[in-house]
Amino acid sequence: MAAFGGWTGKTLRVNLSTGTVQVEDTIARYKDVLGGTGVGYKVLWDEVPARTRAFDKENKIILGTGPLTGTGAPSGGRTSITTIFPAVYPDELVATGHMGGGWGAELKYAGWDNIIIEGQAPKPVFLAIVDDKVEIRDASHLWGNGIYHATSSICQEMGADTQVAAIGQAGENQVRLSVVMTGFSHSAGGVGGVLGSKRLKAIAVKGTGSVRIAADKKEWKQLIQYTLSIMGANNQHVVPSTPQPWAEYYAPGSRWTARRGLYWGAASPAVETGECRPEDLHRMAYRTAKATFDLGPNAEKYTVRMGGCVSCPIRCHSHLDVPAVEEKYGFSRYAASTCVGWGGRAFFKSFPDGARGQASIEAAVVGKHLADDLGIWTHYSQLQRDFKYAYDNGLIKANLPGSEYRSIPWERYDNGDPGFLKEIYTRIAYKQGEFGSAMGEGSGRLAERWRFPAEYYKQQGTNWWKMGHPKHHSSEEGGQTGVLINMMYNRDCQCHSHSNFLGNGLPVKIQKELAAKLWGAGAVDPDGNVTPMNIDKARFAVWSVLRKELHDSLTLCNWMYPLAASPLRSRGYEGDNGIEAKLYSAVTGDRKDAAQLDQVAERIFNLHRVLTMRDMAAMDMRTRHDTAPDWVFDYPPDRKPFTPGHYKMDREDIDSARDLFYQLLGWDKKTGAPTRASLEKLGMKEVADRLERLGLLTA
Amino acid sequence: MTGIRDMNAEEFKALVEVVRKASNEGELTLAAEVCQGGEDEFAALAVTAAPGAAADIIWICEGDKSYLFSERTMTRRYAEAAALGASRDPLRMIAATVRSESATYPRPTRLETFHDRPFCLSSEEITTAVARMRADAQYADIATARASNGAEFLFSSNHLSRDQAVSMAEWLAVGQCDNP
Amino acid sequence: MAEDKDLLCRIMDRLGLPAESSRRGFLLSALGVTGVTAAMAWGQKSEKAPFVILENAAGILVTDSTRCVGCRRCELACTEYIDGRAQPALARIKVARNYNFGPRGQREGFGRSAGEFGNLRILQDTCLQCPHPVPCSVACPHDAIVADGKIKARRADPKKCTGCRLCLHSCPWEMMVFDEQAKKADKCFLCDGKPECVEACPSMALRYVSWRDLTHETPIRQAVPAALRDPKAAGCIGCHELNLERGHRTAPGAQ
Repeated sequence: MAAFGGWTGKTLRVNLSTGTVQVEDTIARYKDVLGGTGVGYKVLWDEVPARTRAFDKENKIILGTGPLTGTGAPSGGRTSITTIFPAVYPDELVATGHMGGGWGAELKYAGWDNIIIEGQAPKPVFLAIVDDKVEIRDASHLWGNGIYHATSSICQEMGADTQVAAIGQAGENQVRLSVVMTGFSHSAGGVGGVLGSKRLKAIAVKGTGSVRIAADKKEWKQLIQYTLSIMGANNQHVVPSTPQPWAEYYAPGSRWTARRGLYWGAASPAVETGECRPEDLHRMAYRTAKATFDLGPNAEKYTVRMGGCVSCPIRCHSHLDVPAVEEKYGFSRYAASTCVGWGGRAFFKSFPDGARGQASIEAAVVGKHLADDLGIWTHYSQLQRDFKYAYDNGLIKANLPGSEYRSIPWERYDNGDPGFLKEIYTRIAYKQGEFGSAMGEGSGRLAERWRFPAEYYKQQGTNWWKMGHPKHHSSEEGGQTGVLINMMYNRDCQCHSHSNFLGNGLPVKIQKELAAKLWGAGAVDPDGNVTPMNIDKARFAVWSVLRKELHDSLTLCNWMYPLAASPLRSRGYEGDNGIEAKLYSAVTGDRKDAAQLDQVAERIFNLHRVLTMRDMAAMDMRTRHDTAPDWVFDYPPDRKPFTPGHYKMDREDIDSARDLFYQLLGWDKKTGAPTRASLEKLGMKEVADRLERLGLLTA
Repeated sequence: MTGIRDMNAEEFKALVEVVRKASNEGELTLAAEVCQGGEDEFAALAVTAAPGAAADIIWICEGDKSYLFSERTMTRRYAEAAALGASRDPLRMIAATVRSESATYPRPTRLETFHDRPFCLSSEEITTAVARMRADAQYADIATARASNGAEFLFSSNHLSRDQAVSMAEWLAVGQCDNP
Repeated sequence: MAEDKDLLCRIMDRLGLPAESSRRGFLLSALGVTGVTAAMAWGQKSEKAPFVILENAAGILVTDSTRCVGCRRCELACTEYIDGRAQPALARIKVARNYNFGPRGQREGFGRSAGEFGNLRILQDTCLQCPHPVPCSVACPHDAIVADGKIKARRADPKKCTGCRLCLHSCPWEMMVFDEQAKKADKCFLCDGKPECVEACPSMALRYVSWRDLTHETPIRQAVPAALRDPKAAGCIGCHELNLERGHRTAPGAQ
């Protein structure tokens, strides 16, 4: 028997240039970085030359799961995809996309922990994995087709229950804003073009094997029941969105939207979401009625059910049946997605029947089909914001050749016609014309190419953060904590640790009590009433990013974990800050407590840091990388920081925020670079040596 | 109906079950409908008839009415809101709730909330009540905050500054949707 | 006993089966006697006594596909809590195989059938705890599938199972599973009356109720080879057993 449960022990390395396949020992090579982003960063650091670009043959792309993936650990079904990321601007640097669904679990059942893809196939291929049989197969019949066709065709060939991860035409054409998609609604942002550059159309997996649980069966069941008992709704919101008898508190913004009289209206017969008390684990799947949350009350009648990733009880992907879409636009009436995946509507400034009427729902469904079939990443809706910005400021007209501009039926856009979306997505997927080529480049290159004015980077509302990406839960969610987190990455930070906690719906007083046990009560400000920086907020920020990396490596869903709070009054609404460690220890048999596992996460986060430094050839991360846009400090213009009613930050205060953040991680105060001491403490002596050789290590 | 003083243990236990069943279905029990007597008499009887076994049964007052609920399936906060709802006094409902939420969370209260259980007010009742509050000095602390999409909120200036209330209203109505 | 034997001969005769059936022949009793006990008694007495389950199970799983959310926690609970590992291929309740395109598989493209890529309905497959004749039990050459305990769930006995896999081919609903580690067949046994899958389901899409015959209203998944029926059964059995010795999974030449 293997020494550890959880991991299969085998990592697959595929060289597409030579058409060869190798098996590596996961435990020997990667145990100390777990999986997921940990393995991804390590491979890029160890093997990919500095300043390799996203579409170079030398780039590698690593699809990583972790020891928990494929087990009954709740919400553990995710895959992290790490590579040199096409949309990072101006230099392409490391970043990750993430996808859920059932693909990662299937990979584990097939006997694999991770897949490392290198080189470039001479012709389009797809990877067919059936347990330990790995084949590189011809994909010429799939190339040029969408993700739906690729999935369908591969399932014909390999079996209806095959898990397929594929790129669409956008990925094939190396559009920077492209995805790898699995299932009907699970996409990993930004990484599709790298697979396209390697001519890898899809990775298809069938697994009949198992993932070993080290713990005794009874102990494992008890731990799972315990974990479920402290879970809330989507985003770990722990109070309902309407007043309910069983609840002390409620919050209109909570994703615990189930209530009497709210239905999955298109189920036959309709299913009531009803009152979902936290003790009733048989009703967990009803807590988050997300269609009406995302799309408004008109979506109730179109909701067939909720769904999502394997092993997750929360089900945050809405599954809709909208018959009009088939009749009016020729797309399937059936659609599934969540959150910004419904972003087709966000292109439009208005609809004839209002912001949340029928047209907006049709636009959401049409947009989903276009994005998920062509394989386009809408970049946390930054694509839509940039489109509107360019349109409103005459930049589309200014930059397109007259004939191209006139060939686009703008009046349909102005009239809020969802069919117009075909014009946008198709052009982007095929890089058609100036519009198609530019819009798919991502904000950084788009803004440069179309000569966006200086205000674009500075004004509030464009959402520009840095390096070609938008903000993602920044100063408006946790003040300095949100700012620090957004500074740390090369793409939009995809971190929800902080925003989930702050948005969980509990009164601030209780949030402060919980915070006091984790980071210090000063970590939490009432919304819109930011206080000056303090060490508690720095701890909160460090905890947030470390847990993000931990979840992306274990894997666990970053929209559910950490479970810092819980819906249980009997626990004083306290969650369990050590739940990841408990799950990890039980599955692998490698006993670690929360602090020890956080140290592993710190190692992973440091790998991201040193990779970034190496590829930027910069030691001074403080000024070169850890930056925030001007609007964070300048908006609203008539207010002073630390007065109620806004989120305006102060530049010196954020400087001190950086100081505290670096201090907690043992990084050099002046540059924010990891030091030899901080790296060696994490067992990263070779990394320190290499940094030193590169001239990137402080004295 | 039996006066509390005359209730025996059996009758009291039956009363307790009635209250528990109603609470489980999200409903308060009007005290006057199940017994005659006041809170002190009820408490005294609980001690003698069912020592410790009815600790979950709570007595609350709203206006001139008294209600019973079981803490096993209903929280006190909700019971108080339900009692307000049962009063069918829109002014009282709205003012008490707004003040409580501005103090507790703190946050402004969206007017739409009062359509839902346990308030179940119509748009007209809400509008009328808000207009009356503006004219009544008793409610001078109740103020309006509007989000940029037109969503209306009320807050109590006793507990929230206008700036904060407006920015929170904007976040709740617009910001959260824009930052999913 | 003598009357029973006489009745048996007359029944077998009516059905055109050899009266002195081989050990692997099938007994059809119209008397509704205490079937298993009687058969066991016969078995103990003579090599030729057949084994058959006659009583119905006391309980059964029923599914509600309007509520199934495709989380597959039922499959995970099944193997994690019974076998100590996560292995949907071994799960005794089946959701994954219908998840993408529904029970009829991928023949119609997207948006046409059931499943995540179809009309979004996830159909769960559960063991029907068949009434007599119980196909898996009937097919087993070693009488390893019995009516177990108080609830008479049809249960595979690992002590008797030789891993010949005949039962996997005999279930019209394809609900038998094979444990590749133990090299034994297995199936849903209702967890002694407290099914783990029902407990694990977060959407009440599974219930455990009093048994009812669902075999006539549940579409089948696979055709059961006619050769499993007497008198060809002996041939199939011999080949399977022979290949077992040789270490093949199924008949030679088969995939």
